[in-house]
Amino acid sequence: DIISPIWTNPTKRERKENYSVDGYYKDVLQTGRASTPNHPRMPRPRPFYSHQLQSPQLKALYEKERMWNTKKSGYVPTQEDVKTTYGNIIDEEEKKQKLEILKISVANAQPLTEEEENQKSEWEKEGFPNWSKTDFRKFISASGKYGRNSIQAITLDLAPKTYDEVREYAKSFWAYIERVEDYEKHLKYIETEEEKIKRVKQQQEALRRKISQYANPFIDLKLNHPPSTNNKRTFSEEEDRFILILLFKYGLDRDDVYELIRDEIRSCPLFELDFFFQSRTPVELARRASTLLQCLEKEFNDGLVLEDVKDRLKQEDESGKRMREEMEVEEQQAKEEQQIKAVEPTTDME
Amino acid sequence: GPIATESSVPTLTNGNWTPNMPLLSSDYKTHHSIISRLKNPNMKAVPYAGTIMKLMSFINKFSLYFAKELLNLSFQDFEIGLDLYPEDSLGISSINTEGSAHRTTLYQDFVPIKDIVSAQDKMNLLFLTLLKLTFSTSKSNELQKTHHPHATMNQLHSSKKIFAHLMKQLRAHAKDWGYPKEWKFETLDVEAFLKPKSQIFENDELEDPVDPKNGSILTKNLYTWHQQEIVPLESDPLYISELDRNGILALEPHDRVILFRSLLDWCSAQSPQIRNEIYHLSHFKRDPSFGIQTQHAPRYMVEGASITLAQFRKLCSMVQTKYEIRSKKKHVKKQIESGKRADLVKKFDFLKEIKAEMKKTPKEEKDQVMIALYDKWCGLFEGELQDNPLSDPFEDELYKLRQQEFFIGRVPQIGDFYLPRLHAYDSSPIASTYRDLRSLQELLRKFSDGTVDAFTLFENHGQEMSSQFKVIYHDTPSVVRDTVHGKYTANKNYWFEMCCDTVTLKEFLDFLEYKITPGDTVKVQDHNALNGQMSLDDNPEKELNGADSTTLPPHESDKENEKPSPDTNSNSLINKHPLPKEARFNAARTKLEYLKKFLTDMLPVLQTFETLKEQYSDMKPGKRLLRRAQTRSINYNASYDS
Repeated sequence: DIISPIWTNPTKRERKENYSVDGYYKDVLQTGRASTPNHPRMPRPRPFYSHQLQSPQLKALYEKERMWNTKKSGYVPTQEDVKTTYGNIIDEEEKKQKLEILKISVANAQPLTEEEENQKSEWEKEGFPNWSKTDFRKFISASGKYGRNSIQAITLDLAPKTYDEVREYAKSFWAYIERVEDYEKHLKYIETEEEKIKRVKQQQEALRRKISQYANPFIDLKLNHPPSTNNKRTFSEEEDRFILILLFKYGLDRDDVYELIRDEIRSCPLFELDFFFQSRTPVELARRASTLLQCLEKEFNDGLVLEDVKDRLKQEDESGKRMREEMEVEEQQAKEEQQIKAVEPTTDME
Repeated sequence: GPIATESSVPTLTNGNWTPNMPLLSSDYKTHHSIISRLKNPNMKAVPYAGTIMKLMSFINKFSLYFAKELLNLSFQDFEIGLDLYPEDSLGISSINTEGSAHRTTLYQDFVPIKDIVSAQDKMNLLFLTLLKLTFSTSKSNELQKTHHPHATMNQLHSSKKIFAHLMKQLRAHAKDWGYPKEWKFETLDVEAFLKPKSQIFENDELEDPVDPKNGSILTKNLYTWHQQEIVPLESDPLYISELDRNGILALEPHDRVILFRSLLDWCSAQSPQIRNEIYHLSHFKRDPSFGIQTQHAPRYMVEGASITLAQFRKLCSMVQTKYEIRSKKKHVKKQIESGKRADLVKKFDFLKEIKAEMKKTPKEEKDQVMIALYDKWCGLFEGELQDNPLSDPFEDELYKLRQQEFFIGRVPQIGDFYLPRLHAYDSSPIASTYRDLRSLQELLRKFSDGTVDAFTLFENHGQEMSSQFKVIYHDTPSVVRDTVHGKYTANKNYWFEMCCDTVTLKEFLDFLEYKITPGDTVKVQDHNALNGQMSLDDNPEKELNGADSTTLPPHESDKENEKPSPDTNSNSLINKHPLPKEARFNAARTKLEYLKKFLTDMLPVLQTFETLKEQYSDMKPGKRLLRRAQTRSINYNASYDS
């Protein structure tokens, strides 16, 4: 293990750290305000962001280090430091208690052992210290918008990060989600957003099946669960049918679908003199469409996931095929029996 | 009366007893109209008729926002003001009556210049009113109760730059509000337009899910879609700078129609006041008994007058039965004896009066008398029914928004007919024909026996109404079929003019006679439903009284299915063939009868309005003028013999 003398360690990964430039140089250069003696202060806790997915034990090491540094500089903690360490505490008794604890921790502080030092540098290599809070927020909202596993799409919203970076982060995120502060909240958000995507897919499927039931949907289409009767009906059933047919034509995933529908209504000769229908804005058409789609949902596989629907359709097709085959076989047999009977009309007489 | 038992109480709620009836698309589900059936020299394509009727209907329904000068517009005023001409080309070769190949006469050749200018001014006033309505900043949720025009002629004439500011706002919003189809260019066919333009990622999401516990990949790829492109700025009619000075007249005639149509759409979707009115008109606590239907029209236009009266009589006898059963019930008798039910007592009295009256009348007059007792019947209906077949179809606001006030008849296998005239919803001046059937019939009688003449109209604000008219035919079967198959294009025409004054109206009535009279030996071959092809054997026409002077042999065939026939070189200008004899055309014949009857009754009315225009064109009836007009006997020798 001879290390070449010209070997220098590779540079450490650059880290974004939120520090104030002034604060940093104040200790180093002793600039400005030399007239007023510098109030010694307890070092602040190292910033630690849970979304960067580093080991929570790293935080403990940092804290240990801090206590030791405080002790080294001979500083006695004050009420002010309780605030920075434990946050605001209203109760006076508790404040005092906490201050005591802090003083004791400083008094008992020890430097990090060699093992701990190694651990620290080990753990610091893990995680994603270059993911800022903003990056994280974008990641959560994109995961909801496109679904958690659509990394290509999520990357789109997280430029300039690369696909691999995002993928790497997402994998860790889902593996160590419990490390993230308030993770229940983020998870709930992503799940409800994903639910919406799934719903649109289901609605699209329900719409496809509904429309395919009719040779002339514009005249014959009828909802099995029409909109509730307690709300005032303002659209005619014919107008409703027209909306559904156009929704199917353009598809639910186009974001300009309701503008397109509005334009179609205006150019359709059947509604030329229909002020009500022609005066509907895209927002109003969207509202009506969502009511109608909910009615369709009731009709088809309410609450079933799309994959299940596909499976079920496959099963239905197969069982249908089987039944047909069985029927054919039976028919064949019946025919044969008939022929046999016809040939020997009196075999059973014995 | 019928013998009543306790068990047979008729229910009134299930039926449709409204004075209006829905017009359903499904009526025409399997019908194929054949345009050439209606071929006659007065039939002309008017592709812009839909837009003009839309504007007229809008003025009718929201008349409180429009200046007085706009409330007596006729269909012709739009044509003259916007410089629009019906097209003779019907896709059927026809020789222009003047012998020339195409239109040579323009409005300025035969309409007084003052009338043209006046019509143009009115178009601009209408344009200005719609703009102002669209951009009005009124936040008030008050419904308009009084006549309050949004723009006046004075404003139009007093300012040179009156449109500039409004046009600027319009240009800023029009793209969001949706450009008309004609001002976008379609680079693609529909199929291609519906397919994604491109996908953002080269491949769909391929790798394993990052969360193995929830493995579904919801967005495998993202797509971009084709957008409809708006015409480039230099050829965008909305950006023609003359609009700021000359209003709607700055555009080419066909673009004027497009802009008017779009402005109407934008106005009804954006104007705070109009939105308010539409909300109000579509959110009543009750629905018509036939539910919310796309459109409806007065019952007597849909079913014909005689059936409407019969419906009323049927309803009367049902109500009568109902009350007779009630009057025999024990608890009802008790209530009445104790004086608790004054309302019922009143109704039973009505019933007694009606029955007494009916006993007196001889059998052949019973029907008439039953109708004559209308007011007493209404007393009986109170609390039982909202309205009845004979009530005024235009009175109840419930029907206003979806009412087709110009509708005058629906003929199976052929289509719908319209007679656009204004003033449908105002406190009716003496001359308005928008009323309930009984008083309409009364009014038509007065016109035909001369009780009401042009002078009477002049005295009674007749000038506030449309003085000219057109009968418009709508090829509804084709509209329905094209809508069902999603095949409608901007350049397909469904509107045709059948006549444009009382002279041509008479010709049209004669023409209808041909269609109604069953043919002698008409043989109908199998006709191919797909292309609506139809061919008839040429038969010597039965000579009819009052027939058109043309004696050319008739010939009916569609342009695209031209069949070689012995006389292809001599095309008749009028298709004298009756409708095919088959039973399925019986309904059409009946409906054509109704249409003919109504238009025959309307003829004197329309004639009187024409006379009013000729003789009193723009005289304002003031008190002094009226006195003078009475003493100065105007010599009527206009001999109209129908």
